[in-house]
Amino acid sequence: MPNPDQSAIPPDPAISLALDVMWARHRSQILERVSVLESAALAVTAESLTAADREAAHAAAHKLAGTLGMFNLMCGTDLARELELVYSQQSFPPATSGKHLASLAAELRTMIENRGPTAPPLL
Amino acid sequence: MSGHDFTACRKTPSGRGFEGARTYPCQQSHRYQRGFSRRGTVFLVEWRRTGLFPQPVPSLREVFSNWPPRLMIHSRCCSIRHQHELPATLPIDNPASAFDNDSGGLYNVGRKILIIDDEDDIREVASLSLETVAGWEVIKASSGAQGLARAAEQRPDAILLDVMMPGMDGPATFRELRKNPATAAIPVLLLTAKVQGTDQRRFADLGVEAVLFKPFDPLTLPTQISRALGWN
Repeated sequence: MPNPDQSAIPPDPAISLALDVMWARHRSQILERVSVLESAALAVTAESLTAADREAAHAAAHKLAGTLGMFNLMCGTDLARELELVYSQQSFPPATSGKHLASLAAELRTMIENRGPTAPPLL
Repeated sequence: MSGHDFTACRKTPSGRGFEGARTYPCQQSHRYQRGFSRRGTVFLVEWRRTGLFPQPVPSLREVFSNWPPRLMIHSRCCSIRHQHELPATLPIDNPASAFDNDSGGLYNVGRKILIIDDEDDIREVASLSLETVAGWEVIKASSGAQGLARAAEQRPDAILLDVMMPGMDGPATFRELRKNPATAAIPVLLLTAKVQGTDQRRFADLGVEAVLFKPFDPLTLPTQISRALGWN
């Protein structure tokens, strides 16, 4: 019998399992978004970033920022927000920032690829 | 989907404990939870995942028909806990009537939420949260135009509306919802990954009920919505 006076909400294995299933289903789409960011970083370094590239990178970073934290990857959300801010500027990122942008994208990829089928506990 | 045990018990006269627990196997336990939000009777309910549902599922009318009037509901899905304390103003002399579809009982007044978001993963996780954690009914739409149609057809209790969508975005969808008398009064909560203050002020100025932020925690999203809308 549950004690109704208990107010803490512990992690729920059924929800974690369901999130893992959803993660597995959407992982490739999430990695595609990272690929967009990787390509954009290369284009920044090569000074070949177009307005369409920048818009695509902005959209990819925005979607990642909104998604990763739901799957208990809040650090990924923070990285994606940093990239979103860069690509939301009117001015194009300077070529010298390409290396940094590439490292952020690489960090995102590592984080996503390392998230196993079993998520760390929620909360 | 695996089944659940459905355990119900009543609050003791002192109000400090619970007694009379009975457990019933059932397959669609969250179906019951849907009704526990607006009416005066308070019950205590627990269910556990078991994967077993070997016998016919009793109706809630049957479960509660022989019980004294003062009951409490407490729902438990695995380790998630929801306490529904309800105003004691409705006929609690016959708890079973609360589940009577024909008389507009509890079963008919569960929350129905429309999620409008173009991203599959967001729709899926939000649905998981609202259906599993809160036991609400969820309708989904993947675009502003589809959302307008679903809102008019289904008349949800609230709409969770993404801001950035291709074509008709969240603010444009919100304005269309307000233009239609059929949907004008439905509370709308914007869902956005934008965290900059200027964006937040712009969204709040639209006249929506609240602005919620992505990423959300699936365990607490229903609470955020309930608090924003003043639901019990």
